[in-house]
Amino acid sequence: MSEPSTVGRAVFDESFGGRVRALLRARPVADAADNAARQTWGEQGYDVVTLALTAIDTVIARQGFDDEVTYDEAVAGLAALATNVHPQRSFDEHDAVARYVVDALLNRKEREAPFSYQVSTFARADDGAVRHRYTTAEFRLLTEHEDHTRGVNVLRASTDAINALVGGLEFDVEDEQAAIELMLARQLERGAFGQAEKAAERSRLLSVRYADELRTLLADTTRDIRTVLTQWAEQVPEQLERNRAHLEDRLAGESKLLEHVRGALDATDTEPTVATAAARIAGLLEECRQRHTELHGKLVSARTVFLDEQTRQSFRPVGGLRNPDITDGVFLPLLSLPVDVAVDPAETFAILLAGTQVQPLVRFADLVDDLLAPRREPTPEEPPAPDDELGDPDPPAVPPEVLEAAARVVDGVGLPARLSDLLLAARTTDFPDGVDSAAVERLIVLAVLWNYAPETTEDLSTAVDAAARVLGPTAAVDADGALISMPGWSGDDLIVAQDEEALARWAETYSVAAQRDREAS
Amino acid sequence: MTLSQRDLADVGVLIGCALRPKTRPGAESDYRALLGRYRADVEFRNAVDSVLDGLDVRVLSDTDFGLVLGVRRESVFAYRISDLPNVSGVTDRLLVGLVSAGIAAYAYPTPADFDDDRVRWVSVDEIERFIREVCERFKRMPTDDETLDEAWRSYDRLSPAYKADKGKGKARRSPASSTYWVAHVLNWMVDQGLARLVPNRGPETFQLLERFRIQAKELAGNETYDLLATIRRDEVTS
Repeated sequence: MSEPSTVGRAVFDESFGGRVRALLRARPVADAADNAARQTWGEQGYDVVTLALTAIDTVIARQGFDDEVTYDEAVAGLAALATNVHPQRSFDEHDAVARYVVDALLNRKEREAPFSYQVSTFARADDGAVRHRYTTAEFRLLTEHEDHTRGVNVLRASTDAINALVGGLEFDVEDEQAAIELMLARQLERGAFGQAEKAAERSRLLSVRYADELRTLLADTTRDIRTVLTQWAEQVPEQLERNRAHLEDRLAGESKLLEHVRGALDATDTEPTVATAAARIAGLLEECRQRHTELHGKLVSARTVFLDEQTRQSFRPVGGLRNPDITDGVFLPLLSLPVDVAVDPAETFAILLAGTQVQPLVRFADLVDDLLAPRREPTPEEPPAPDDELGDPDPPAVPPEVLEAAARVVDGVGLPARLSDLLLAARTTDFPDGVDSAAVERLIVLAVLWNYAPETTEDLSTAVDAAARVLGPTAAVDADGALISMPGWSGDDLIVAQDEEALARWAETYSVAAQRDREAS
Repeated sequence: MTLSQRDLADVGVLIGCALRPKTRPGAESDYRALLGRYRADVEFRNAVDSVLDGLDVRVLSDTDFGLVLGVRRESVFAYRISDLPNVSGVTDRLLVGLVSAGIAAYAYPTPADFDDDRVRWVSVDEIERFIREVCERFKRMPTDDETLDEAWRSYDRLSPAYKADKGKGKARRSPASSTYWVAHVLNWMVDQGLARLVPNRGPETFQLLERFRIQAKELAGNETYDLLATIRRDEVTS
């Protein structure tokens, strides 16, 4: 260990590590800019750093609202910016650049794991020797979260990203709300109602969010008061008091605004567009006020909830002596152990919690059946592989002339009809050259049978098409027990109708007639 | 009076019912009758307990919910965590254990909570938020050596909502996301008769059943606590 006479002393300072870590937060962005050169569009000179900061600002702009930025929105915004750099390049390239930037911030390359960098820490021992060791800094810039109301993933910026890359941008809900109100008042004065409506909408979302924050706190309080005890002791009373004063303000302010908007409604010379907008805003503000009132009630009772829960949770009987303490005795110790030590007790907990498992035994007969079963068809949701484009299409199994002739025979007889009538017509019709009457007959029978009991064939669409061309798209077929008496065919003499309704009518009229015939004979 | 062949067959029937956690005495009269006999007839009860003991299983509770059985790890009836889909490596098994313990800690934060049998509901989002907040607390805790292999980091490294194959059809949760593991464990608990999906209380919300409370209270919590205590003692002495 040599005396480092040439380096400054700052490297041994406590605060030095903080500066290194702050600088590290920019490294993913710098790395992304570096790696951009290796992309297909690397030569085009897109400024990845500017785009990355834009992405973070885009995300922050709506963070915490109900309509947080989704991945696709972030990409679309950046792609639009990239278009301005090289308008002549393709959209795909702009999209690729945007995706690259957002993916880099999410660290999708590492499946959204935190960025992790090794940092050297130097310390000087008492004897003047320099000690070196590695520590690892882990952090995220953007994260993805599920938004249940919309069923999409939304992006959020981490504290690291906000502090290091945006620079002390603090997000204060109350200021936001005050700002919105001021804006709304201004806009109403100027008559900018379109904008004002958006602002009112946002004001409502903020009210909802307020209630959510409070609900979380109260839920935690009811669940386990110990987890929020310090919060209650330090920040919460102050926060509640501030919120309450603030809410009272809002309630007064919003009713004033409501009057304002109503004034615009009552004025005789209001433009129709302004009037409708004002009416909508009035509705929104009314709902806002209700939300605030609701929240106000909750705020007023919050302290009582705390006291009640404290009484309930602190003074209840201690509980059975053998009751386990999961939080402090199991969960927290498990989390703090090294992975290789923790895995065994963690697994033990899961196994003992799970209760019994009866191992499923393989029955030999089932196994053989399963092995011999045909492969399952792919689910119909998946589009079939587009292999039609390759090579010529297969020649149709039925020549088009035969299809044509069969359709004409069916048209000639007219539906509804019995299969035997159709076949008789086919047998007696003179077909042009090259059309075999036996083939026409067979096609008619197949089409009718397919309609009666569709079989799953590999080429489903062709069968449907062929049957529809011969019998019509809505044809319905049924059997009534009468047997076919044509030479060459056997089985049920099926009834063919153009649709279900016609079939029902046929059944009503003919089944009675047929029965009478049979009785007569 | 000694037990007859027929009685022994009944012992088997009762154990068979108890091994299927979704069988309810309310729905099956045989089960109900045998459960009543187990509670009233000491000899019958001893026979059942002895057979179960031989199988490394013991009865945790014999209420009207049915006979709840607890296993020892070496029992043939113990669940093999590696049988769960997508669970293969050390980290996967650790995550299943951590999330299970997390759910129990969320629903029953203090020992006294186990005596309170009000219904507990948990949702995937709540559990995710709960475990992640605990991880955040660990992150803020000052440590001397940043070894980076504490168990909580395995959870913290997971993205809250990573979905693979973006853009191709319906993206599914990936095992690289923490919500995947929380949902995975909760669904497994449904299969094991420990929880029930209640869709009308919100997205992916589950009700923890009485069986969960019994298993955690009577067996899993204390056994794991003892195991952890042994590990700690070994660390101190070694």
